[in-house]
Amino acid sequence: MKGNEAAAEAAIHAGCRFYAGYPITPQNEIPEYMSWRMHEAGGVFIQAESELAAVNMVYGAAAAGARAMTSSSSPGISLKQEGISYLAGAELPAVIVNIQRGGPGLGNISGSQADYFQAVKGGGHGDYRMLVYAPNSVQELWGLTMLAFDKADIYRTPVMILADGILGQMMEPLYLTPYKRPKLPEKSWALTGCKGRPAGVIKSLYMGEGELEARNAVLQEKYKVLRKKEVRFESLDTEDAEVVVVAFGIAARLTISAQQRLRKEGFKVGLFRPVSLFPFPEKELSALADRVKRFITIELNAGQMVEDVRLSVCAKGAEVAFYGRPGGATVAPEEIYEKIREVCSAS
Amino acid sequence: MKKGRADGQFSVLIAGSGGQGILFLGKLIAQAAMLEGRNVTWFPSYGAEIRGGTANCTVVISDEAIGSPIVRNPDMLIALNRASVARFQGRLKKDGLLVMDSSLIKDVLIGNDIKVVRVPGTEIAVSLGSSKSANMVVFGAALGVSGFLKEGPVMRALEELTPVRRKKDLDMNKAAIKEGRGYPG
Repeated sequence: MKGNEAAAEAAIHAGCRFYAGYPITPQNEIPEYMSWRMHEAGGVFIQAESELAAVNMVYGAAAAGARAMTSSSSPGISLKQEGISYLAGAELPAVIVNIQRGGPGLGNISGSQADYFQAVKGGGHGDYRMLVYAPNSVQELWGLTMLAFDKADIYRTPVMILADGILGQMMEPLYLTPYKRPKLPEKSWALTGCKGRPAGVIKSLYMGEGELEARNAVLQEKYKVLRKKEVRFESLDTEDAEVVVVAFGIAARLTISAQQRLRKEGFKVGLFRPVSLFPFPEKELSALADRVKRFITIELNAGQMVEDVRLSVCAKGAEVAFYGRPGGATVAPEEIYEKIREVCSAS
Repeated sequence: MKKGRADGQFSVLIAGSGGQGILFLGKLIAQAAMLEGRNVTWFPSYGAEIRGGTANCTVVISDEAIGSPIVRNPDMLIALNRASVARFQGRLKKDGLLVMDSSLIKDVLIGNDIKVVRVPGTEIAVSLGSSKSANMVVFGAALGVSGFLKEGPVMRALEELTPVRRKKDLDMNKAAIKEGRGYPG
């Protein structure tokens, strides 16, 4: 199954019954798949007139209590930022899939990771955060998409799946692991008609004295909980490592080949892969830096996550090298191998 | 070239014109490898592809977990047009294998550090009923020379990937693979 199709089917498995989107390469297989599959599942598929319309339709569906999703690729995700900020402000659960392509501007259609800042540091206006997951295989894209719906409901927050064109377009074997619905809070806030109960209000406009600040305090409290409870990462061969590569998503996948080769050649190289980009596994990286003093961050961009890596480990006296190729480039594992080797040999 | 599994990982780049069944051949290889119980990734060129434009895809087969689905130096190149040979032969591994449709690709310079199998895929396919099966003839020849997949899973994968209403195509493609397989002797 293609990564894009896996994300779409995972959403259906997780009970997503509303999808709105607007076409853009390299994520087109998601709306294409949804256009027939959502119908089959008894849900609503809409090809919206624009990206902004799509995300606002998701806002409406989420407010009515549905599990709702939209997807796009970088330039389209930029257009959705207003809606994402509103989702965060109104505390509505929704899943947004970004199959990143090269930017800035219209860029091109090859895979990229240049939307890290946008996804993790805000993107839209206001003091908000959202959970951001970065899968590195079709299997993980499957699992994290299902998880995203649960976390969105639990925390009443938009959740972003930050993948890229390579993962979206590639095909690999996939185990269709069943969706297990955890115990979820009742959506008593949903606007389902107020017969027999007081009318509900979902909004992000707070004009009264002190209202907005109080609202922001609630949001910040939520982000604190996310930071504490929702960090996800994976580490490979870090126990005895002298050099640790930090990479997320597809860059981590490209790095595994190089890391394994260097191990075979006797270099003590480990790989640390943040799976949740917000919350960022800063404590775990910082703890790793008690022992490891040399890091290299590899990204398919000009250097974005590396800033968070530096914040996490530099206070411990560790050094962080960076290698990345910006939008438009394809990175070969050989090139990553050489860069890590340079860091290994620099001692 | 050694037959079968070289170093646990085998990569093949398939390239030609849009409409020649490049992506389908890649899917067939990926499906067959999966049926053999091996790990596999399939990665296409995508985007502004049109019929008559260029198309290519990379398939990586391995007994271990696969890192990158993108490969700079593949073990094998299956080429169905001249432009693909010119563009990609330099990327083949040393002693890599180039299998090409010699009905369509003539007068092309080939480097001396790769092995070449020329099979008149289109001619053979036409003799079997349709030039559309040329990709399968060339693939058959690649199987015959390198044995990187077993015939059983390949045929089963072909059945799985062909819609029931295309039974005629299935039979023709099966015959094309067998014919190609026998060709290099």
